[in-house]
Amino acid sequence: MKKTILGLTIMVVAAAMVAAFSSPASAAVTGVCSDCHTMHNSQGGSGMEISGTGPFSTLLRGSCAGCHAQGTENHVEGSIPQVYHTSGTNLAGGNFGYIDATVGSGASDTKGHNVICIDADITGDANLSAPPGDEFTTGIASGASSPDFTCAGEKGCHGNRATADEAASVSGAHHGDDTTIDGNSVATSYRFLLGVLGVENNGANPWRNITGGDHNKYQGADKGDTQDTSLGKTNPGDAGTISGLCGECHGDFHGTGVDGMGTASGTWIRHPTDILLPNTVPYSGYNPVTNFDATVPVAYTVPGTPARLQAVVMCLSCHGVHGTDYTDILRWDYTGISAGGGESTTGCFRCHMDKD
Amino acid sequence: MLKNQRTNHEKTAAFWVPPVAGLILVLILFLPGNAFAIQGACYNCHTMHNSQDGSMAVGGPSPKLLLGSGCIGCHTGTNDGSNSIPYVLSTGAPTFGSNTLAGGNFYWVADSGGNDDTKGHNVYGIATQDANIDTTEGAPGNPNSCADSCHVTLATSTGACMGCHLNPAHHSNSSGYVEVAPWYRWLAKCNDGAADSTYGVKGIEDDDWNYETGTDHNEYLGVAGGHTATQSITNYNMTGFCCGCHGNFHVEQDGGSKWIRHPSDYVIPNSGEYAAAFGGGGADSYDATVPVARPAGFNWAGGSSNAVTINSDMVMCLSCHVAHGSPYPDMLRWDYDLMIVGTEGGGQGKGCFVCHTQKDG
Repeated sequence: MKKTILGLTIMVVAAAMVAAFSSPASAAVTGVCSDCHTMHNSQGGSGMEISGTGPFSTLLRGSCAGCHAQGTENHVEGSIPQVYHTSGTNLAGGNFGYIDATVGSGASDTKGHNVICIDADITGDANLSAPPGDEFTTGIASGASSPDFTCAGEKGCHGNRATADEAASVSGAHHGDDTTIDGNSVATSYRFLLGVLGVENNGANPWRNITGGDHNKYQGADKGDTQDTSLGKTNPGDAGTISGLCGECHGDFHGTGVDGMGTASGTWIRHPTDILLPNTVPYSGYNPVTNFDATVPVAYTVPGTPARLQAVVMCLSCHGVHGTDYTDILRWDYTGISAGGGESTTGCFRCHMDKD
Repeated sequence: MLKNQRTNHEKTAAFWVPPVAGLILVLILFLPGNAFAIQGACYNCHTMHNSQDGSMAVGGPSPKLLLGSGCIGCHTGTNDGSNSIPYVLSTGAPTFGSNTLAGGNFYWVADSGGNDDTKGHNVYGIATQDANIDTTEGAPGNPNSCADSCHVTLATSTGACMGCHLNPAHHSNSSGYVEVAPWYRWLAKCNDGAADSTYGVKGIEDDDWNYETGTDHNEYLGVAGGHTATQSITNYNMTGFCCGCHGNFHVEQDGGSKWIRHPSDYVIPNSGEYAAAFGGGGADSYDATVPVARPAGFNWAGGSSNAVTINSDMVMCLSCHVAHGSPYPDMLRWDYDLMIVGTEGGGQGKGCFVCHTQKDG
C-alpha cells in the first residue's frame, strides 16, 4: 500500500512539474528595476541614461533605442535584446547596424528599415520617401526629408499604432502577462506587434531563430491560390499573421485586382505570402518541421503545433525585419541566386529547388 | 613478378574500369534532363513585388513575376553574341543575318519599328492585325476551323507568342537534340489552346540561337512527303508545325504533271539542276541562309552538321521563310526582287538559286 501511495505521489508530482514547465514561457521582463528605470534620472550628480538625453517616459533610462540599440558587442545586453550591435550573432529580426556599417559589408539604406531613432547615423532612406506599397497611406515619411519612421507608436511597427507616442504605445507591455499570445493587447501580441499571433522563442536562445527547434514560430494563414484581397485590411488581418502586419505598410505588394498577386494557375504576378508551401515537388523538398532552416523560416497556420502541411510562406521567409547585410533586407544575396548553377539549396532554392 | 604480370585486383580493375568510365561519360553527355535549362541570376528576369526604390516597375506586374511585360518584355534587345536572353525584337533596325537570330527579328513588322505587315508575323504586343489579312480570312492556308484562335490571328491576346510557343519551359528546357516535350523551342501541338505533350517539333536547338552559324546551328526534322502529301505536327516536323496554320498551302502541291505550289518537306532531288544545289552538297556545303530539314536517319545525337546531303535532306518552309520577321516581304530570307534569272547581280548564287541552280546567272 505504501508503495502504491509513493508511486502515485511521484507520478502526480512529475505530472505537475511537466505541466508547470511545458506551459508557454512568459516573456515578461524580470530583474531589478534599476536596470531599466530611474526615479529622478540622477545618481551621483549625473544623469542615469543608458544612452540619449533623459529623462524619459515611464521613468526609463532610455528610449526604445536607448535600451535596445546600445551598439555594444552583445546581441543581448544584460537581459535586454539588442537590435543594433556589433556582435556576429543576430536576433531573429536582424541588426540595424548593417544600414550604417556598424557591422557588415558596407553601409546601405537598402539593408534595413530606416528607423531614425536607432542611431544618429541612420537617417531617412535615400531611395524611398514612403513605405513602398503603402496601400493604406500610413503617412510615414521614410525619405531623407524629415523622416519620422520609429520603432513604435503611430509611425512604428511595435505597440498600438493608434497611440502617437512611442512609449505610450507600448505602455504596460513589458510587464504584462504574455503567457498567452492572443493579440488582444500589445502585451499579449507577438513581440508587441499589436494583433499578431505566434509563438515567441523564449527558450535557451530567446529572440533568436536557430536551426533546429529553437526558433520563433510565426502565425501564417492560407489565403488560397487567388489572392485578390489584401492581407492587411484590418490590423493586422483577421488571422493575426505576421505578413498581415507587413501589409499595413506594404499592402500594395499584395493589393487587389490586376495589381494584386494573381493566382496560382501559372499567373502569379507577385510572389505570394500567407499561402501554404505546397507539399509537392519541388517544394516538398523543404520540410521546416524536421529540417528548419533559419535563413528561410516559415509560418504555420497553427504555430503552436507546427506541421508540414500547415507550413506557410510569409514575408519573413525571405526578408529580415530590422536589418540584414543584403539588399532589400533579404536574408540572402539575391545577386548570388543564379538559376541552373548547381546543387544549391539556399535562398530562393530552398523552396524553388527545380530552378537550381 | 614481371612487369606485365598483373594481380587479380588489377585484372578486375582493368576489366571493369573502361566500361564503367565509359558509362559514366555517356551518362554525363547524354542523360536527358535540364542540365542546359536557363542559367543566371534570377533578378535578370524576375521581380518579386514589381517594385524598386519605391516605384513600381514599368509595365508590370507581369505573370510569373517577370520583369518584362509579356514575352517581349524580356526578349527585346540587341543581340551581340554575349546576351543570355535571345532577342527577337529590336528597338532599332537590326542587321538581318548579322545580329538577328534563327527566327529573324520582329523589328520590320513591329508597330514601333518598320511597321510593314508583310515582313513578319503580326504578334500581339508587337504588331496589330495585319492590314492585308483580316481575321475573317485568318491565317493564309489555315486548314483548321478553330474559331477565334491563334489559327486565325496571333495579334490578339489569345494568340500572341504562345500561339506558336505553346509550351514555354524556361527552367526545364533542354538543349541539343530535343525530341520530347517541351519540344524544340517549345513548339507543341495545340489542343484547344493547351500544349500537347504527345506531339511537337523535334530538332536540335543551337545554344546561341543561330547568332553564329559557322560552327553550329539549329537543325530541323523533316518528313518527306509525296507530291500530294499533307503535313501535320503529328509528324514532329517543323513544316508540319507551320501547317497547323498554313497547311492548305501544301495539300495540293502537285496538279498532276506540274507543281502548282512550291513543295515543302520534299527531298532535294539528285537530278537536274538540284543535283548541283548547295554546290552539290557534301562537307561545308550547309548554307544558313537556306536551311534544310533533315530526315529521321540524320545523326541527331551528333549535333548539327555543316554538310548538306542531296537526295536526303529536304526543302522546308524555313528554307525560304523566317518565323518572326525579316526585312523582306513575305518574311522571306532574301529579297525576292533580286531573284532574277540569269542575273549576275546581288541575287546571284543566293536565295532561290541555291537550289534552282540552272536559273542562276
